[in-house]
Order: sequence, then C-alpha cells, then structure tokens
Amino acid sequence: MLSLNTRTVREVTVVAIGGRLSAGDAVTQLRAVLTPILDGGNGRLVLDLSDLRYMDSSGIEELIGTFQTLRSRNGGLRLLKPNSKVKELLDLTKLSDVLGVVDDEDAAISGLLADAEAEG
Amino acid sequence: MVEDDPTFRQVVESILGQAGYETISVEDGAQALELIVRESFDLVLLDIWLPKMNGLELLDRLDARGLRPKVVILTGDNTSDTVLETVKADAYHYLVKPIEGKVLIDVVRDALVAPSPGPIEVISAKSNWVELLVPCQINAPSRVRSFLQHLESDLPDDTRESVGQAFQELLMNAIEWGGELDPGLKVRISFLRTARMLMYRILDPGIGFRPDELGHAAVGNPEGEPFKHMTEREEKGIRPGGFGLVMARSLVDELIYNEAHNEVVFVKYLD
Repeated sequence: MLSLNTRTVREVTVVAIGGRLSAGDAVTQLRAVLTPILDGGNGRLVLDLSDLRYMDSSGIEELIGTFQTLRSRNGGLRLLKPNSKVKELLDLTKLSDVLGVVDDEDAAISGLLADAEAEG
Repeated sequence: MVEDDPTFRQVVESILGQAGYETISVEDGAQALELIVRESFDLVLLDIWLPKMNGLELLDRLDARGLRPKVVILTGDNTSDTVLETVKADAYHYLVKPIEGKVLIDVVRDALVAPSPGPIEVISAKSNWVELLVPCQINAPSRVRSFLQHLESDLPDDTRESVGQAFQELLMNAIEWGGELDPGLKVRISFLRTARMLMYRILDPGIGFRPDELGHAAVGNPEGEPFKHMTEREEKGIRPGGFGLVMARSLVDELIYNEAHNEVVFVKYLD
C-alpha cells in the first residue's frame, strides 16, 4: 500500500511517499498526486522517501519522469532520506547523483530555493 | 479470517479494523467451510494448522464444491512442503507470522483490488526444483514471489532480497513484453536450488527481442548517461521504463538469455 502526504514548506512542495512503490496501482496513485503539482506548482519539489519501504524499476522510472518534467520547466527535485534498500537501487542504476539524494529537509529546500534564485 | 489463536486473531482484527476493513473470524476449518458455503467473502485469511479441519483440507473441500475464494495464507509454517501445497491449491498469497501490520494491510489491499487471478499451474513441486506456469497478469510477480521466497528462508536477508528483486523485475519484463499482459498466456518459471547456487529460469510466450533493438532500455545506455533511453521511449510512445534489466544484472551473479531472447536464466551463488 502506498501512502502519500503533501505539504508546503517555504514555497516548496514536499510529498512524503510511504509504503511500496511498484508497477500497477501504486505508480498510478503517485502520478495522480504529482501531475497537478507539476502542472500548477512553482517547479520546486522534494520527495520524502524516508517511509518508502520498497521500490521497483517502475517506481524509479516514475521518479525519473518527474525529474525530467521539472527540468524541462527549469524546476528542481530532491529525493529526501531514502532507506538503504532504496538508496542501493538508485546507486545500482547510477541515478543517485543525477536525481539529487539528500539527508536533510532544510538543506533540500534551501538548495532548491537557491537554485531558483540563481536562475532568476 | 480462519485462525485458532485468539490473541493473534484479535491483533489482526484490530489492524484490519483500523484500516477500514470488516472482518468475520472463525477458529477452525469446519466452521470456515460452513460459513464460506453459506456466504460470499471478498478474501479469506487462512491459517494452515487448525483444529477439526486444517487449512489445506479446507482448500480441497472448497475446490471440490467449485468454490474458489481469494485466499491469503497466514501461518507460522514456512516449510517448503506446506508452501508448495498451497501453490497447488491455488492460494493467492503466502504470509508467515509474525507479520508486520503495514505488510498485512499492503497484501490485503492488493489482494482485494487485484483482478481474479488466473490459476498457477504446478509442473514440479520439489523443494529444490519447482516449475510453474503463471498467467501474464501484472500482480503475478509479487504473488509468485510470496511463495518462492520461503524456499530460501534459510539464506541471508540480503541474498533473498537481491534474488527476489531480480526475479520480480525479470518476471515483470516477461509478463509485460513477452506476454503483453494477456492473462490467457503463461510464463514458465523454473526455480532450482543446489548446495551452492540458486537458479531461476523464465520463459515467456513472446517471440523475443534483438539486443540491438533495445535502445528503449537502460541496459544500452552509455556511461554517464543513465537515462538516455528515455528519449527513445518518448519518441516511440512507450511508457517510462527500461531499468528492470539493469537492476537485475546488478543484483545476481550471472544472467544470460537464449538466442531468441525470450528465455532468461539467472544464478546467485551461495558460497
């Protein structure tokens, strides 16, 4: 079961993803929550993965799709505190650096806001 | 729920109740048979070793009456014989006690929303040589894994997790690409275990693929460009994807395809 909770911190949207993110309903649920945020938000997004217990390649691909959409709109993404299993998958697929994995929410938000300011 | 331990019954009822599910419980197989014959249930949580009539006998009796409710096994018994008997009896999923509340809710929710599962055909049910024919349905990988993982329960957690994830990724590829998610088609799965290795073989019903046509999969990406393949997927109108094979290759010791590329074998060494 996937749990999704959205909040806003200093104008940055933080979506906490908990449970299992795998092919099928879970990916569809995540997309339904992220689509309006990507379409209507300010393009700065933190995905809090601290309660995500399992992710398969479909989950990874959803994160990449989100990253690409944000990048195409000059936005930014940070992945917050994935557990060791999820982090290992991101490392195996060589995506950790590209997708921006961080351990501290404040730093993630500050980083996104600084990027936005730098881009003007 | 069919469970003879009153404490465990109460815990499960409480967990499911808080998650919004209504549960009716009985404490032996005979009571369960009477109730299931009389009423229709969305899901049966079934212990195996029960008084009067055990869980396996109950499944046989239901089958003899043409009743096939969706059944999640919830038992303390993870011996290979019992696990394989429940596959033959067409159970939906296998959970071993003690069970974490979140995991139980995950499985119950998934079982309730999943379409009626096609039967898994058992070709061989030896604990060191299992062969199954599995329908091409999206929930099949996690369903099959829930049984097979108990044949590896003596192995270290990291070995089981690596093998499990590789298996699910490759089976999903077989079901989605080879079987085109057609529940009328089947994937043949073999699990072999020797003293020094685990081997899985997955044969899909498709015509295979050519590796040079795999521009849409991450496995062909050049160094430093981990999602170059996504551009090709976008151009071809294929949903985001293509990381399953990369992950599987990284998680096991050997992985090879046959010439047609509709059959894959992977090995994890145990020493």
